[in-house]
Parts: sequence; C-alpha cells; structure tokens
Amino acid sequence: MAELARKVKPLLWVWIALLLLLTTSTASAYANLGSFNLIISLTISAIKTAVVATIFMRLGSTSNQGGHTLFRIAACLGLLMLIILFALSNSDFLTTTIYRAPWQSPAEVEVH
Amino acid sequence: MSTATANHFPDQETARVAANFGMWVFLATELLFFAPLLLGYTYCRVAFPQGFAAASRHTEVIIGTLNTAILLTSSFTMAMAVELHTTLSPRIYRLLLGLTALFGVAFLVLKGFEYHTEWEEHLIPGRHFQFEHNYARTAQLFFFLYFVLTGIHAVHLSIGIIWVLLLACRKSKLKNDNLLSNAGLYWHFVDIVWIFLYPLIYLVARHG
Repeated sequence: MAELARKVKPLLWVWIALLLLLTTSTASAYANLGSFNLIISLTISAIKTAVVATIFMRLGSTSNQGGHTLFRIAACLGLLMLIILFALSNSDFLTTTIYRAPWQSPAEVEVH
Repeated sequence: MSTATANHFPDQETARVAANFGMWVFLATELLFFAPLLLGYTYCRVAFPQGFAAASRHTEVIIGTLNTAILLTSSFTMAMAVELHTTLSPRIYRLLLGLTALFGVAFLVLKGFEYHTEWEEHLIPGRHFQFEHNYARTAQLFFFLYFVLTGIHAVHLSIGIIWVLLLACRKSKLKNDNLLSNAGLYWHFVDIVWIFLYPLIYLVARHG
C-alpha cells in the first residue's frame, strides 16, 4: 500500500499542477497584457511540457527508475532540430523584403 | 517483443532501453512532422497579427479548454497504468487504460462538434468561406492551419486510442512491458502537441 502511494503521489501532483497551469493560461488570456499574453501562454505551455516529459515520460529518471540517458539525448536532439528549423527559416522570412511589382495594386500586396 | 526477450538482446533491461530509445527517436521525427505547420503559423502570426487575432476569436474556446483538460487527465490515467501495471490488479490496470481511451474518444467527439460549428459558421477554408472583408484572406490562412494542425493531431490521437484499447484487451504481467511503456510515451507526446496548440489557436486575442 505504501509503495502504491509512493508511486501515485508524484503523478497526482503533476496532474493537479497541469490543471492549475491550464486555468492560469486561460485566465491570463482574458487580461489585456499586450505582448505578455503570448509570452505567458507559451511559457506555461513550456512548463506543462517539461513536467509531462520529465515525470510522465520519465525523461528525468535514471535507468533503475525506468529512464535512461539515451532518452534525454534523443529528446534534446529532436528539440535541437526544431530550433534549427525555426532559426534558419525565420532568418530568411524576417529579413526578406517583399517588393511590389509595378502592375500590382497596393490592395493586392497589402494583407492584414 | 514484450512476451520474451528477443534473441539478440542479452537481457530484459537492454531490450527495454532499446525499445524506449527507438520510441523516443520516432517521437523526435513526429515532432518534425508538426514543425513545418508551426513554422507556417509563426510566419503568419508575425506577418498578419490582426487577421490572426480576429480569426482566433471565432474559435470555440470552451470546447478547446475542456478538450485540453480532458487530454491532460488522460495523460494522468495513462501514466498511472504504465507506472503501476505490476502493482495493480489486472482489472484496475484495464480500467485505467479504458479510461485513457475513453478520454481520447471524448476529445474526438467534442472536436467533431467543434468542426460542425465551424462548418455552420462558414469558417472552413474554400469556396464557402465567409469572414469580415478586412481580414478575410488572413483569417482563411488561420483556419487552414487550424484544420490541418488539429486534423493531424486527431489522426495521431486515434492511433493512440486504438493502441491503448489493444493493450487493454491484453493482460500484462511483465515487469518490462515495452509495448505499454512505448504506448505511454506516444500518448504523452500527443498530449504535449495539444498543450502547445491550445494557446496558439484559442488564446491569441481573448481580451477586449
């Protein structure tokens, strides 16, 4: 029984924390915080992901607890690939100027 | 597989590490499956902030929030099943897996209602798309991304549901049940994808 409680408690706390974080992100979206709305909601998502990955997916566990260093390496490499995709692609998108052709009307090119 | 150590593994522990590592590598590739869509979303949101804000206000935030809570809870029941499958009776183990699958189905049902609402409001990109004229083009981009992202997520979720149901029909008495732990990893990954999709779709501009 004690062993059961020892295993269940961290999972239960994670679940409660996830629901609290969800409530926080939803509530904060209704407050007018300008650009902080995006920062807060993405930060909360990152925290939720870290919690799910570390505890539910055993990324923070040793071999004896069901984890392994190899899993951490694989997860970090996946994340690194994502960062490379975003960094390289956006370095093009954010620095490219869109030139209007002479025969295009402003309405055609300007988008909201 | 999980009923006996495959011949080329010296012991169960090596087999477990190999199985889970393979799953993690696969999940890393699945992350790159969603990545280009998120890249497109990032570009559009930076380039057309008002259109995206206007479009996001037309999403069903109550269904979205409820779905997020459902998926988070399903991750909890899945983690319980994986963590406790040797400690619990087979019946409770099957109940936990069944609940996980049920939550997944509940998510899909709510998503179906949501898609139907969006169809009625003419928010499906294409010939019959209707939106206020100023933001029509970029709102259509938003909803294109919305339907593809949530659609592909729903496909992943369906695969997870079938996997979990198959596991529930099987009795597991193995200490290292690799099919079960890999299913857990897959389910949590699908949950993580939704954790990021939720604010990007539903919470863009809820204030004012």
